[in-house]
Amino acid sequence: MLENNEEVRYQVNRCSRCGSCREVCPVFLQAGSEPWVARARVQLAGAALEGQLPFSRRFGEIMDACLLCRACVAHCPNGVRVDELVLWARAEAVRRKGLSPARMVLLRGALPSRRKLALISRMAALCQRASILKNFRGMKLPAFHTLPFTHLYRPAGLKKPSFTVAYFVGCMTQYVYHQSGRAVLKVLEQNNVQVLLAGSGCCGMPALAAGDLKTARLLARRNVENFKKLGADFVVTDCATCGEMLKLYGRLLGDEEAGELAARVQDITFFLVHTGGFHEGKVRVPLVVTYHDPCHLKRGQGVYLEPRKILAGIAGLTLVEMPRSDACCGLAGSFGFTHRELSQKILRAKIENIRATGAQAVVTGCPSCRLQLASGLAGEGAALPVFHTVELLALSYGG
Amino acid sequence: MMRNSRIVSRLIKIAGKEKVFSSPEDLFCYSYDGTFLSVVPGVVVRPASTREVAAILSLASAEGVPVVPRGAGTGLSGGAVPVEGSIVLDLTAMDRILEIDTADMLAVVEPGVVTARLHRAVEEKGLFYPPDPSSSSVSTIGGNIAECAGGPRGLKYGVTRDYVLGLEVVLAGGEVVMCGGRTVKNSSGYDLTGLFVGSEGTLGVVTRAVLRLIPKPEARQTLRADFKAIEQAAEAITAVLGAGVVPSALELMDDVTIRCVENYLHTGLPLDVEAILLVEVDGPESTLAEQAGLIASLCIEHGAERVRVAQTRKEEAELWRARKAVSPAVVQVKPTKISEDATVPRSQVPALIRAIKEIARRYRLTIAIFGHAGDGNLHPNLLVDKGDPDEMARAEEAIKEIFQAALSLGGTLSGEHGVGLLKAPFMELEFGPCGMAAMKKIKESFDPFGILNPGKIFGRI
Ligand SMILES: Cc1cc2nc3c(=O)[nH]c(=O)nc-3n(C[C@H](O)[C@H](O)[C@H](O)COP(=O)(O)OP(=O)(O)OC[C@H]3O[C@@H](n4cnc5c(N)ncnc54)[C@H](O)[C@@H]3O)c2cc1C
Ligand code: SF4
Ligand code: SF4
Repeated sequence: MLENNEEVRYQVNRCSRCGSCREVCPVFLQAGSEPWVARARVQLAGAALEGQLPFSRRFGEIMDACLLCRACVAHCPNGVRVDELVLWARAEAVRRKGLSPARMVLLRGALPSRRKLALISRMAALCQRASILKNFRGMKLPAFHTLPFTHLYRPAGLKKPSFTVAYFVGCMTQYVYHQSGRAVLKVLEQNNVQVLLAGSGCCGMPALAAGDLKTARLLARRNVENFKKLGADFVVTDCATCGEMLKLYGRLLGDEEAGELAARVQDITFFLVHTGGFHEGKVRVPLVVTYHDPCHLKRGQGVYLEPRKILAGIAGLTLVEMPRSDACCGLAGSFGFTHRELSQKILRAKIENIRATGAQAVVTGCPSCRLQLASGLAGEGAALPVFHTVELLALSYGG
Repeated sequence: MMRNSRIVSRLIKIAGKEKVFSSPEDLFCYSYDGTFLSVVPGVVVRPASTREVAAILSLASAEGVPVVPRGAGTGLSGGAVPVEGSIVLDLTAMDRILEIDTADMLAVVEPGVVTARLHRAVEEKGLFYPPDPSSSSVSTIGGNIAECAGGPRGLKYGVTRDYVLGLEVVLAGGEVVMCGGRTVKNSSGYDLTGLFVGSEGTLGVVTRAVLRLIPKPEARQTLRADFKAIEQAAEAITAVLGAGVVPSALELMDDVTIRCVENYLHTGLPLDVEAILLVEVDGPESTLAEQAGLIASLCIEHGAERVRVAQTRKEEAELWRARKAVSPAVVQVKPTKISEDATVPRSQVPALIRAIKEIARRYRLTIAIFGHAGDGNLHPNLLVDKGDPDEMARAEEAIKEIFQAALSLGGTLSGEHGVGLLKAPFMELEFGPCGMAAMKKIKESFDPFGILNPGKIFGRI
């Protein structure tokens, strides 16, 4: 997070305009013209900062067409934080011009309210039972649940746990992918880790990404208070996006307490490999799989060896790497809906790479990627299932 | 913004609405290239065919509007920086590889093809397109041709010019000419192909190129030699070439560069030497060990502190990692780097390096020198802070002196980046008034109204 104009200027000045980001920016690679590449976003942010260009509608469109995937940041010879410049530009636009009415409703009305989110999910589930809302804007939607995960499942109490962790159940696990949440509970319990459910609300990423710092801070504050009450050793999550967001709380809220908490957030695979430890399962899982690196996990949190390590320990399972396993899937939160065509093109490239491996299933560590990949894989060809890494580990535990 | 919205609507008629950009934000994104210069154009168009390019140029010449061709915008001399009110011709939508002919060993491509994509496509067929600017993963063939781009392989394999067999070019008035062809030999008429190569978009717009390919070398091997004194490195280079071995790359890093890279990578580069040479040989697998051995012994004979020959792919990658890290490493020192490419005859490399070091001392600047020592093409990089006007002023003076030093050693202003806007003020130093007048005559006969990339090479009028 860039705190002030000086930090923004510093990042802009680091850009040597070398254009190397043209090689990796997924949006540019599909769109083809300069405004859609990282270099342009950096230069535009600089121009807006210095008052050479207004925070116009077109400016907003260009900034919005960024996946925040950080492929550019990882590739940039000067390490320019393009993602942070884009977030700054979006927040600055909101600060100056306010939120659009639609975003107002979504971000300020629905997002902070657990009750409303649950209601939306319930309604979606009921519609789906009546065979409506199976698709949204051409995307095949997964099945929603009528009740949230935290209403249905309770972690067991352990006698002498080695650790106590607060499990942050993100919205996607809460309302859509219960199987992933169940796997987290099972794997942690079987490894003698006491789980406490953080009666979680949204992590705030959708608000931060839309430039709505106010809502993002409100949600962050609420989650911090929540964790404080639980008093666990660590906070774990099975959502790459939530994980990255929780880790940002310190800087977002600018206080020590939040920073201290952020330092104890771990992705579930990182926790298993480095902190809690885990035993290998006894049941064979005879599957050939390929792994997709979520942007928010690999570049966002530096976690990419850990899931592979877990998969390598599962008997019967074979991991076949796809080319460019860390290329963005193209969903990037609302981008998949607001920039339908671009998002689909980026997805198609990903799906081709997946299919070329001949894998029978795809594994990943972020439910948003899962949604996008599953939708893409439901198209032509055999519909391959998509799993979270811990689900396969849980399978190998049997029962 | 375009004064004349009529021109915008005519362009839309030619190329289609989605291929013409005129909002201030879009125009801003086309205001720069790989340099620190920027000028906002009047309109941007992305033509899809030679026919569209021709129609655009005939419109532009009828209306007297300047046209600036553009590839990936990675140029380092300001060639693609627009002129005020100009039409920027973004050629990256014309990016088809039309043909790879393994019998005649050539490729036919459109100008927007990214260099590295061509490398991959021909190598899949066992062929090789040698020109390899460090920017090849993003630069376009059109931009390479227009700047006569080089790269590390220049010493053994030559530069872009040596691989262009034929061109299709649209002239200022919209006429389409074909020059050269599909033959390696061609001595009929004036060498127009050669004239367009390196003309920086000032004589015509390249819309198609026939490129010469050669068989792909079977294997390669890399070694590194460290020298206490630059002169020793230079003598070693002379000895290697004199022994009849032509390395496929011969890269040099000076002490400032070594220090920057070591601070950045921490791989244990020697800090007590003046130069590191990275040498690569390629060819049939069976000959490599002998060639590398010969180079190693010649380096030691000429005073190398130590020589390391890579035995595995991994070791090879490790040796090259230091060279590849130069760009990110030097910007850790200061945010802005000004990359020059003064080039001298090979034997003068030590003299040029000494001269640049003296200039750096006098102007209190940090200058990292690295580059293609084998062909005399050095890249002195001035490490400065754009926000420090005093330092920028000193840098400007220093650059002038570097040019003068290169010229007085029998060299040239630019080995591979072209003249563009940045070196235009120094052209007369190299060519004198008569040389400049001859070039101007050529320019005027191709572009009588001066609409093609005006100001480049000759300076702003
Ligand atoms: C990090 C980095 C490393 C580099 N390393 C090297 C190197 O090792 N060797 C080297 O030689 N250069 C190097 N360059 C410079 C640059 O990449 C080359 O000059 C390259 O050829 C420019 O290609 P481009 O597509 O970006 O052209 P642009 O920058 O877009 O344009 C360059 C010039 O070509 C003209 N032009 C473009 N397309 C056409 C066309 N179809 N017809 C007519 N004129 C046209 C433009 O008007 C302009 O004058 C480097 C640049 C960077 C940023
Ligand atoms: S963002 Fe980085 S990679 Fe892209 S142009 Fe700027 S310096 Fe180069
Ligand atoms: S974050 Fe991703 S989409 Fe955004 S500019 Fe960088 S590479 Fe492009």
